[in-house]
Amino acid sequence: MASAMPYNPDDFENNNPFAEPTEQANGEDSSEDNEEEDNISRDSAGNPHNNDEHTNQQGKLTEAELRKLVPERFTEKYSINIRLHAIEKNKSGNPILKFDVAVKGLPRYRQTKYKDVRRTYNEVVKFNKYLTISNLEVFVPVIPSATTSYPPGGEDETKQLLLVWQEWFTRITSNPILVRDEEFVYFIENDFGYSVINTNRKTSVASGLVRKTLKQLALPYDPYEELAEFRPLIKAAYLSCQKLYKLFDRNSKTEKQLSIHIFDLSNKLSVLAQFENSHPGMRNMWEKLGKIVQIQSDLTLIESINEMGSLGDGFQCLANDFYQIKEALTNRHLIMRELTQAEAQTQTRHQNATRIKNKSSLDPIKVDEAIRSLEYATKAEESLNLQVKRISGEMLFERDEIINFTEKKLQKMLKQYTLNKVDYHRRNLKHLENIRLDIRIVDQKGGLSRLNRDNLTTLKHNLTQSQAASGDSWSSRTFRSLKKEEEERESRLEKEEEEEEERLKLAAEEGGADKNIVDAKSAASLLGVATF
Amino acid sequence: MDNEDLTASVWDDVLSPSSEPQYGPLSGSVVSPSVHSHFNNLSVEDHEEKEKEEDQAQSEPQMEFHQSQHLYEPQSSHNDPFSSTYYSDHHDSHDFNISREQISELKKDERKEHTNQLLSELTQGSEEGLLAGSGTVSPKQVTPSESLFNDKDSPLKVNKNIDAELLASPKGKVKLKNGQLFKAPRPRKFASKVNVKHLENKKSDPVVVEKNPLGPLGSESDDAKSGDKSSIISSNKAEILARQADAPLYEIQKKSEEDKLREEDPHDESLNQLEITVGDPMKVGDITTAHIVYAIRTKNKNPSTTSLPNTTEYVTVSRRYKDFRWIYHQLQNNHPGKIIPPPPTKQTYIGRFNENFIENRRLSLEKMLNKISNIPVLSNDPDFIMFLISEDFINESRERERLSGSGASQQNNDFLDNNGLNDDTSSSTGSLNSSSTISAPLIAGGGSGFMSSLFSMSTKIDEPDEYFSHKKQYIDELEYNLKQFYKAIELVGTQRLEMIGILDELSLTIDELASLEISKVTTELLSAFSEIQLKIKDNLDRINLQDQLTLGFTIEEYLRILGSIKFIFETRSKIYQQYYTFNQELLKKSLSLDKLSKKYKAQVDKINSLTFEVDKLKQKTAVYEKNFNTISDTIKSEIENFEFEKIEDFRNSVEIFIESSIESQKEAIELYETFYERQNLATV
Repeated sequence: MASAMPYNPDDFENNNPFAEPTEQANGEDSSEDNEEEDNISRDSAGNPHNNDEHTNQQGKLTEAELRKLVPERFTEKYSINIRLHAIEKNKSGNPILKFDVAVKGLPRYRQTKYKDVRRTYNEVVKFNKYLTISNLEVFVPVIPSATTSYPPGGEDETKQLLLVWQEWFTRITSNPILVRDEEFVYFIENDFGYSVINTNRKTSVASGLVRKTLKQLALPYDPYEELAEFRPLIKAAYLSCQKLYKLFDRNSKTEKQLSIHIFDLSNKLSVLAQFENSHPGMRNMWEKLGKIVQIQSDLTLIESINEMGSLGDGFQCLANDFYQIKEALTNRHLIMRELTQAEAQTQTRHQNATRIKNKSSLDPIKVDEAIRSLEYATKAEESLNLQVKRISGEMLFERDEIINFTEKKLQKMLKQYTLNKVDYHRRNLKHLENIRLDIRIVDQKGGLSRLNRDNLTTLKHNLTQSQAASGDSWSSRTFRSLKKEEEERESRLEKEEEEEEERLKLAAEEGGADKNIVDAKSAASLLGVATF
Repeated sequence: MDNEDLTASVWDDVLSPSSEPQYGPLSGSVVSPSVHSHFNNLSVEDHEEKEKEEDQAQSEPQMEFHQSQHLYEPQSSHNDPFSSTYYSDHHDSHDFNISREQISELKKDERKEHTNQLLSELTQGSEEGLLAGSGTVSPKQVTPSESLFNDKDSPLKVNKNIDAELLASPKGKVKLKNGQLFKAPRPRKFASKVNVKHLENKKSDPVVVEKNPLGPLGSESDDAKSGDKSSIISSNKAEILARQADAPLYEIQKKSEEDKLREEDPHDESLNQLEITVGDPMKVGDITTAHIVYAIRTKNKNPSTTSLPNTTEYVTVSRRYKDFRWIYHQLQNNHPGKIIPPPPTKQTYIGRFNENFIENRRLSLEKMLNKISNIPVLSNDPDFIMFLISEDFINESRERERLSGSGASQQNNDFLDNNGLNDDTSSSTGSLNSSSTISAPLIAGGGSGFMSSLFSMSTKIDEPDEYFSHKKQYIDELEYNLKQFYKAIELVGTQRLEMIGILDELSLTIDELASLEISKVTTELLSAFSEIQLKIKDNLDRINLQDQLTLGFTIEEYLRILGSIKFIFETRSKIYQQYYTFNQELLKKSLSLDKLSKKYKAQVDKINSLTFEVDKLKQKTAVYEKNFNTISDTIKSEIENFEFEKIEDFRNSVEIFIESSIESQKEAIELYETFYERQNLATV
């Protein structure tokens, strides 16, 4: 609707020779002007020379306009709900994701419910790539890597993958534009195996060397302040996250090494204990200390993995996301640059047409051609303009979503990290407190606790565990993160169980579809066992 | 930086002269009276002692014997069969002798041996007997080589005289000691012992008298030692001094022996109770001679001692690391068989002025001095006291070193630096040039260069006592294990240090991310998290340091002590080797003597000379045997002590280790819990 340089046939009736210089004077920042005009949605086509005033009003799209630009944002009609419920083992690095899908209000889907859709991780990655390419206006989240920092094939890894992939699915499906992508239909409906159907749709923006070169150019003017500021922010965040990931990786490696050293120490201690056979107390002390140190080493190892799993992987995931967002914003810049070029072209065409019109001898063919090319350029410009506006409008939404997501994600990550840490230190503390007595009873003197006093052998050692159920003895705090977390987990589990039950009930009501599946599953598992 | 250093050193220079005068008079009053009285005593003894009545002469030896009994009573409980059989040998020969008889008898022996002695007059002879008795020194001392442990015999001999000694209670002796400064007639200070030695030497060794003209020469060095020496020194005194300058190590041995006597006596109040702190490490000197000096503050809590100035004030002196090593070696030489608390290891040139290192070393040095002062024998060692209070340490230490022939300053410190890897014989070569007499190098840690070269040729001698071979193996194994332990702890420490660095970086990066202000919540969350990381880093840093200071420090210290133990083992085996060689020689010689006396009775000259040689060898062997037994006993009791101390020290450090770990865990928990609570993570 909004065109950069409205093609007005009336212009060419106007033979005022003074009209042209004005146009030319505006030529330089015509793109700006045009955009501005559009931004203010035409009705307030104010003074094009007053830039300050304009910037204030720039970057704001009225809701009506947004409704027109991104209608997807304003309907509740469509939704896809994907619930990841299992991860099957497959080739390493390429597990199979099993999920249920519920579709609502979207055309072209044959069913409203799909059970046990199986897609390998690589297929999902392809789908993810396609989504990124074909939805320039969306910050498409990147699916987290199939390899985690947890030991491969372990319970922790599966748990983590279930969690992060479910999160990814939720993010994808909660985006109204992505949900409407036709590829989604194929992704969900394909029976077995999936490959991107719409492969012919190539990336519409420059890539490779061209992209690199283009990125070197000065940024096109961005009327949307929020988005203009967002890219450097995201870029910095991306860099920080990457750095953090590397640091956490290093930290975890160092901690792993530390745990090896501690283990070594425990070995040395046990050797020393064996060597020390003259004094049973000493021997006991070294033995106990060796054991504790060994436990400490194990805990440290676990801790190093947990740290990496919670924060390291989290930051990695965030970094990937931020990178994608940054690329999307770059794409937007590239499109904006295209728009600028289109506007310039329209401008030249316009001038050309005017010049021809002003010529004394009118060649009707030439005039026709000039006007046609002007019309064409104008249309191209118009569509680009629309695209930029749509992208910008959508990105404004996406931006808030991303910020919210990052906030939540960071909180979650840190929460998990903190809980792990607390658990680690609490365990450590418990073990350390366990051997206090063993050290004090090495000889009659009772250690430092006796403060060199004599005849106190009968005195009882006052060694209670500091982490009683009623709270920690060293602080007045009664609150305990782990306890609370456990309670919550329990209640959540209960809730989930209830939901599950309800779901099962519903499924049972629906029919015997479930039964079939169960049979197939058991059959498959039987076969699977047999083949070994 | 350079400028700062320069100014600092300038300040040091400015400060030190100003501080010295303060202590100048003090030290004068500290050192000179004792030295003075020392010399007074000398003269007094020379002239008055002769005229003493018989009963005094009688009571004195008794007293001394009593004391020596005190000394050896506890030791005899540790005696294993080996040494007790040794005792019994001697016991048999002297069993029924009361001391007087024995003395005169032995005196006769002496006379027979040294017929050509210059000092054969009656008076001299009586004095000699008297003094020999009073000095708890049996006449065997005649040979210079055996003078060290000869009073060993006395307790056994005097066992029967205990009743008679009731009079000479320790109290009386205390009185003697306290009044010593003022009462001339009863000089029983350690100095007197030296006197006795001198006189004996004079008597036994005719060369000494001929050395008389050397007196003034010898006294030169003594002038340095005691600036305020009175000018009325008799020639006799000068002679003594000359002897003193020449004197072999055993003199100091004697002193320590008496110190031992003193401290073993429970009622003796003259023990030093020292309170020592090492502090104020200061960088001194220009670039080439830069080093750290430590201020040692000493306070004597027992006012009745005489060896230290009787002040309630702290005595402050400054010493550098080298000096600590000196006192270590000096003590090692003075007390063979004693485990001397060792100083910390030497540091490579780089990082000498590192703050942590200096603090660590300061702590080690302080611990070393305190440990020394807790061992009564060592805390009363004159060298140690000199080390604590002397203002002119450089000269005095040189003087003492020369006197004792220890070569302490040149000692090879291999085992100190390499945590007791291989302490070869070269450790004692420093004593080679210090003395030409046979006796000095003997105790200085196993033979002069000539002797050690001789021994290196000799075949391995079987260890006579199984206890020692066991213990040696045990010590080696313990050292190996502790080294492994230490290495593991060090590795953990360095790994933790690396983690600390990473945590620091992490906190910075998180701060960066926070400053991006993605949203208000994230900024708050992340900056709080960054703070937590910093605090965790501090926590880790602290616990790391703590571990190094408790476990690491203790292990390191014990490794060094093991080095000391190895050193005493080595000293012992050297003595044994010497004993063995002399014994072999003696056997050979006595065999040939037998042959000669059987076959060629005509060759009187040859027989005579051979007899003389055999006699000499006999004496030597006896001395070495005695030395060997003494050192074996000392080592045994020392090892036992070591075991007890080891248990306590390690238990304590492990307990501190555990407790500090517990506290650090608590702190970490608290930090994370607070973070969790404040950031409302529970609601996420």
